[in-house]
Amino acid sequence: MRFVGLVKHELARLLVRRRLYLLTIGMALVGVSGIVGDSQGLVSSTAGTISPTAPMLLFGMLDQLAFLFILWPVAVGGTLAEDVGSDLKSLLVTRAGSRIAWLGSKVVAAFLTSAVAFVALAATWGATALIISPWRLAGLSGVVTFGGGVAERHPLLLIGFVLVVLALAATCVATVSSAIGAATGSPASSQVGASIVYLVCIFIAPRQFNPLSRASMLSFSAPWMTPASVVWYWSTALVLLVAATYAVVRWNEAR
Amino acid sequence: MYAKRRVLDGVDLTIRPGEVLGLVGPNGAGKSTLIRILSAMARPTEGEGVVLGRSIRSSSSKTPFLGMMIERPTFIEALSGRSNLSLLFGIRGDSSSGVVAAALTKVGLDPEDRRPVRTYSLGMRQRLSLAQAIGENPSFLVLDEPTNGLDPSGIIAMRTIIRRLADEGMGVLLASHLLGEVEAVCDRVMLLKEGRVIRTLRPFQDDLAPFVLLEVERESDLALVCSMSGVRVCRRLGPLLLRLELTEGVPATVRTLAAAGVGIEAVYRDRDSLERVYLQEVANS
Repeated sequence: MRFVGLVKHELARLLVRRRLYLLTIGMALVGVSGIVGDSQGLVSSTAGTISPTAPMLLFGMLDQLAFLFILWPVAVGGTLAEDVGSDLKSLLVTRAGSRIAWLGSKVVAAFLTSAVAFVALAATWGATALIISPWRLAGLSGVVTFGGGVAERHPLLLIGFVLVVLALAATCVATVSSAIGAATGSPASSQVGASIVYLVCIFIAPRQFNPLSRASMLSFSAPWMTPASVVWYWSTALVLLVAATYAVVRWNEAR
Repeated sequence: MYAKRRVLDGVDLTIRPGEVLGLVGPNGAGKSTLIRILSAMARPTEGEGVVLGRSIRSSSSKTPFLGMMIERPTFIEALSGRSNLSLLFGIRGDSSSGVVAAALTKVGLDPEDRRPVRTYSLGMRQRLSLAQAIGENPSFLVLDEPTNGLDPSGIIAMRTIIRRLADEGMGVLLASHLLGEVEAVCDRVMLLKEGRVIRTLRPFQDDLAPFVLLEVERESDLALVCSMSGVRVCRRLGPLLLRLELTEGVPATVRTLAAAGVGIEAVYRDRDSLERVYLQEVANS
């Protein structure tokens, strides 16, 4: 019950943020213009060069989302820094009865908010793609190399999987902002810092451990890029980040 | 220890149900650190203590439930005070509209007010902060500068609320710079300086020294009064006004003065203020 109450409190804090909606709308517009632009060109597939269909346009844009959410910590991050900086932490933690519940509520709320926002983005982009191109699944597996033939047989299942993974990835980035916020108590630096950390990881991490390749998986072809390995990668990253944030919180209390 | 500096040293305190303990000291005295330790938001490097059954040295993630009114109250600015309380009370389970409305009414806020918190004055925020602290009937309440930003009627109301809560059996720790308020509401006051308790006193008992204000009729009486044997300390406060600390009772001293021919215009009985003790023991030490 306490955890549910904490998640509700955290969700309320995120959902009243104007920047959440502004950023989502901005990402939607970038995606729509990208889809319009892509629809004019050709797509290279295993069957040759073809005109893109609506599912191809949608999957292509979902693949870009991993880069688009680089500013996502501004929308869903920074609440832990707010708590630490304002002593709201003590009000929430004493009510929760546990720091782990308090920290967990931030992770769950960031995941739920990201998931809902990304579903809205996918719906907007899907609708745009449908207006421009026909919904035809044939030849999709030649473009989307991830997940075997799922793209052609169960495209909605693949879209759902990708959105969950992307929400998980966005939660990881938001949790980086929590870790920074636990140390600094500054919401702004925790949000900007998380975006910078994500960007740096994109540039320096080896391919197999690179967050961008693990999040923009649809067009990626490698033996190690399987649905299970993608889920394992982001789940492990999230667990490690939550543990690191908890350690920083406790270190800050003990010093 | 904080950044290799000893922030609190040898602090020994007990707060019983129904008691209001005041915590007074200059900035940096260790008040906030003490509050953070009591609320399990910081762990001391040494020492022992128990707050509502939980050791202050415990490394467990678990924390006890205290009512806390923090110095910088933070709420969800876009939501009303009522919605904020509903969300906060919802964490522990009871966010029914009756409980929320009762908490708001208790601190003098309108439960029907739907304006967002960002439109609240500092005083309204303080009241809302108190409402969130007391609304769930905690057995121990920590108040950090609760009268910040309150107008005189708000301060009086706050004092009344704190006393009533203590009378209902709640233990209260009150940290404040307003010495008059602390003196008026606290059963005991702890003076803290550089992390050490330099004195603990009871404002309503004899820990604050009694004295007499004596107004005489003639200036020539002043020297006579100050030289009398029953007068331990004599200080001139005005043209014909003296502040006396006596070794004997007031009636006996007045009789002696009259017998010596001193013209007495008026006698007032009073006791030291917390402010004077603070200045003597904290500010000037």
